Amino acid sequence: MRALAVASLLIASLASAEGPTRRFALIVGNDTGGDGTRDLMYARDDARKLHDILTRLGGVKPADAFLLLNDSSENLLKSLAEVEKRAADARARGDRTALFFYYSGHARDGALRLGSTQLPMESLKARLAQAPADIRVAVFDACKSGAITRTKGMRRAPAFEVESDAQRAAKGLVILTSSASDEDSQESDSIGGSYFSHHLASGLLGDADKSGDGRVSLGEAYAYAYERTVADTADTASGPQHPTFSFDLAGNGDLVLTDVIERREGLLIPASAPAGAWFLVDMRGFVVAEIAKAENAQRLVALAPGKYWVKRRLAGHLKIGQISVAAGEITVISPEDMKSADFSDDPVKGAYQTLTYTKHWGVGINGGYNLVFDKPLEAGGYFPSAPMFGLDVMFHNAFGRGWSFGIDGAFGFTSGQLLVGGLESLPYKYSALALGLSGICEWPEGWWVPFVGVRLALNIMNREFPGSGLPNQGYAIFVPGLVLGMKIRFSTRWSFVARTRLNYLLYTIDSTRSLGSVEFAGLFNYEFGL
Amino acid sequence: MFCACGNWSNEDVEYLYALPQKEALKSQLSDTASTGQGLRHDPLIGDPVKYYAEAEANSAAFNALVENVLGGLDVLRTIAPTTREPNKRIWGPWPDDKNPGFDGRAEITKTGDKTYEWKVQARKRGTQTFTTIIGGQFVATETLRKGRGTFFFDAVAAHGVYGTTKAKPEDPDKVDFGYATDGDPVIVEIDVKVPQLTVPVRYQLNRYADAAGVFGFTADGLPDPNATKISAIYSWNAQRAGRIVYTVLAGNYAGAMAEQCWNTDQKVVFEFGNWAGGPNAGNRSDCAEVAAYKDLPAFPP
Repeated sequence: MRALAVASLLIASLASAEGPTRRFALIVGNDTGGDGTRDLMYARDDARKLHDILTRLGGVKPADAFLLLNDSSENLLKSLAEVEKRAADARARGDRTALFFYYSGHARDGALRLGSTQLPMESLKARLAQAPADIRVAVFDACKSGAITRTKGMRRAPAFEVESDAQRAAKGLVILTSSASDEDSQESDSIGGSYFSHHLASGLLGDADKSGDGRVSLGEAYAYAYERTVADTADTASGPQHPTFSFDLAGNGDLVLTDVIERREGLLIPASAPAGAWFLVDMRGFVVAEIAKAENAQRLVALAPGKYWVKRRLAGHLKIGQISVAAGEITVISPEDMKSADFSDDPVKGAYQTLTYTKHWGVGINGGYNLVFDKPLEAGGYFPSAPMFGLDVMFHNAFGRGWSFGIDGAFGFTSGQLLVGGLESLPYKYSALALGLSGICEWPEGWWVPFVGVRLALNIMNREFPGSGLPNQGYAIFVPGLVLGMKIRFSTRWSFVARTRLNYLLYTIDSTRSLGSVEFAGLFNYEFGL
Repeated sequence: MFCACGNWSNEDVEYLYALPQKEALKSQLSDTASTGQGLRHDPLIGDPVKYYAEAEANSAAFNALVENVLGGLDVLRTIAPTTREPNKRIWGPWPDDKNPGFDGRAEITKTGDKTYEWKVQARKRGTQTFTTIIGGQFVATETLRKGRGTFFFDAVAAHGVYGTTKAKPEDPDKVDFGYATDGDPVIVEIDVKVPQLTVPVRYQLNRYADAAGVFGFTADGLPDPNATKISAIYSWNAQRAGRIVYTVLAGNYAGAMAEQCWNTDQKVVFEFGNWAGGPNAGNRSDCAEVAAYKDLPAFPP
């Protein structure tokens, strides 16, 4: 039985005797699935991660890698057509070709759900089956994605039976799915991605190199992802998640997906280091890889140049260290470089990451100055510039990651002299109340969080003329505007926000005038979970 | 989406400033004497209180006229104009709460550069024509609040609209006001036309910024044959030392004059009557320096 599986799964190697392989990749990540679905948090991140790995380690030239994020089915098919055209051209030139397709997002009722658009899985599978590439590898990280492997023409095989010592290049289609046909595919805030893609990525970075040859084959990657996904999801509320592997191939030979030693770059965990789980986390808080370190075995992880946290979770505490990977260099981590820390002091996982990528609240007090684009009241203008103080409440990630909703209120006041009729200077006291609703798009990764958005506010203004016997005057109007700012985190929950609002103010009493204002404000912000 | 509401208007302020400010036109005489010190209660000589009491009573009448007429404009300072037109603001018609069944209306028109006309009108609800009850003109000469103006209250017209009659026969038929607020002193003159007199009673006020002032009145055609025309001029300086001169201008006692001065302590220092047996105590040189009455300048300026 094992031999049968081996024979049917042997796929052409990148470095096979038939010559180099031109590789193409179409990577799709979509957090939204339209009606009846709840937005995903990490589908786009999973896609980015796979795109980075394939272009850095997987032999796919950046120009041959297409990354679609929150895009439509129409554009997916357009991009697929472009990939097919390039593959056909390469094939015509005599190149051996490979096409890697990856999808992370929603799937329901037999169709991929890309926002409000759909793409039937059967038609996509048929398209991939006919694609002009010698070998096609499709990975679906979506709920019930295993349904695509239950159809006619594909044979299912457990990944752990893949063998990699065959030599004859194979041709055909291989499909990996993140879950069986009746299972959900789950995401995890603690790892910042889907279980399957997270482990697939960790494996491709080197942890799946079971043979120790410095290369991760398709079989190794799948076996690794399968094992870890099942283990991690066994205790979740949704139940265990079983990835599937199916194929329709001729020939044999395992496909090398990533070469982790060619670049000689990354992190080396020496053989003497303790066995167990090692988490490699980037400075944004993303778990880049989760390494299952074996006893007395070194492990090379092909991390991209940059700084990382290295973390181990022990029974009663954490071990945490920080490393820097330079281009073209291998950094060796020493256990002595890692310091002990309480779980509550975990700087790279838990509260920060959960707050960053999940729905949560933010409350801020602000102070600023609203500068009105009008001549001064001392020269006959209408609305004075004034300091403003208020409270902001933001519902972060309310409409999907990075899409937030906020309400705010602010009060401002000032006083001065109003020139009336070109002759009379009249003392006034001015006050303003602004109540606003904002829709914000923010980029929450990292310690510096830029954001832009739109806002609609109700401005209620009042002025009185003390001692004049004149009546108070009021004005209320809806004010649309743009919001631009930067949040600077200085802890997991506390941040300072520098914000600018550009507002349109219409005046209609004496005459119709289009005025505006720009508001500069600073906020001290606190974020907390639901 | 951008709907706006409110009364935020620089121009409204300008129009409202064209209306006379009642507090700026009132006499301060009552305030001066309201301390109750000296003059009436601690006379140095004789009993001159009747002169001052008359002046004070007339000052109160003066202020009541100002209050009653200009008080009708207060409503305009509590509601926004109903209609804003170039060079015009219109309030109303609004239901007149003090006169159920009647409507009020007001209008201020900018007739020229810094020149305004205004009127307050009334009508019986259901009728079309408004009748002007109060009206005036104003020319801003220095600032919007400082200029020269006139206004009137037409009591006959008011009774015609509201269908009322006079509460007392001596109630005026019409009151005309003239004022100048663009200098020091502020000058106010009021002519009160009453049916019993062929010539209106004229009240005059000079009100200085330093609290000095001159207040007086002239009445002509009085029924008393001994004094058919009289005048009273009451003057005071910033320290509240002052002088009253009461003169019979026509009648059997024409030329009769009574005079009284008091010092800053409100003590009478000089008293004189030019008729036989009249009072003559103290020295006129002890009287404080007070201003003479300045006439209202011509209108329009």
